[in-house]
Amino acid sequence: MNDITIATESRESRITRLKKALKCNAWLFLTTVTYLVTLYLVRENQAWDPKLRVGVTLLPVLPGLIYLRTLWSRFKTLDELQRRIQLEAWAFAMGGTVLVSTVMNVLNANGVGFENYPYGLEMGGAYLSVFFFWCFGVAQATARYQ
Amino acid sequence: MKNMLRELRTLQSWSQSDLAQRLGVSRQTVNAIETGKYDPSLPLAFKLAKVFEQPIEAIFEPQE
Repeated sequence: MNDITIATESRESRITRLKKALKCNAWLFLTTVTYLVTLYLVRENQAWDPKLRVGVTLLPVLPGLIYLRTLWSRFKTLDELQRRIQLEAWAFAMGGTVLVSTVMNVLNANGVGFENYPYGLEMGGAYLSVFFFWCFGVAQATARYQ
Repeated sequence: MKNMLRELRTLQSWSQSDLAQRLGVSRQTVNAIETGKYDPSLPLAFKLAKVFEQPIEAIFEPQE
């Protein structure tokens, strides 16, 4: 009975952790969506006032800042192993994104690159890349310490 | 680093969650220390020593 209780608590705490992670990364997702929407709006509305165009262009910064704040406050609540896992995952995400970006830019510079991505990953692509590598990094680091 | 954490915890009839709660860390951290996959920081090692009322060297032993 005690074992069953422990197993249930453990599953519940895992679900709580997953919910927190999803809530935190929802801001990253929102930042990416906002970026894509504002990108479309600014490109499609060239006649807009330049000040309005600047304002709309910078809109993704707001959810981005909230994401960073959420991330930081969440990081402060983690214990030392979880901090290590997160730091390893972020290092992996940054390293992976720099690598992908560098490869794309080098290929583009040599004329054997990606026609649809002449400027490499760009901001939205960089966000998605960081997110992808972060997920992979967390999964890998968590498995290593289990 | 080898450690006696599992043995000491079992002696007290504590679950990993119980110990984690006493230390203020996650159960995953306790499990990782017990299985030798993670070496705790010095502050956490001192906390462990305090919880088990043992000197640090009685809990941790450097691996040859």
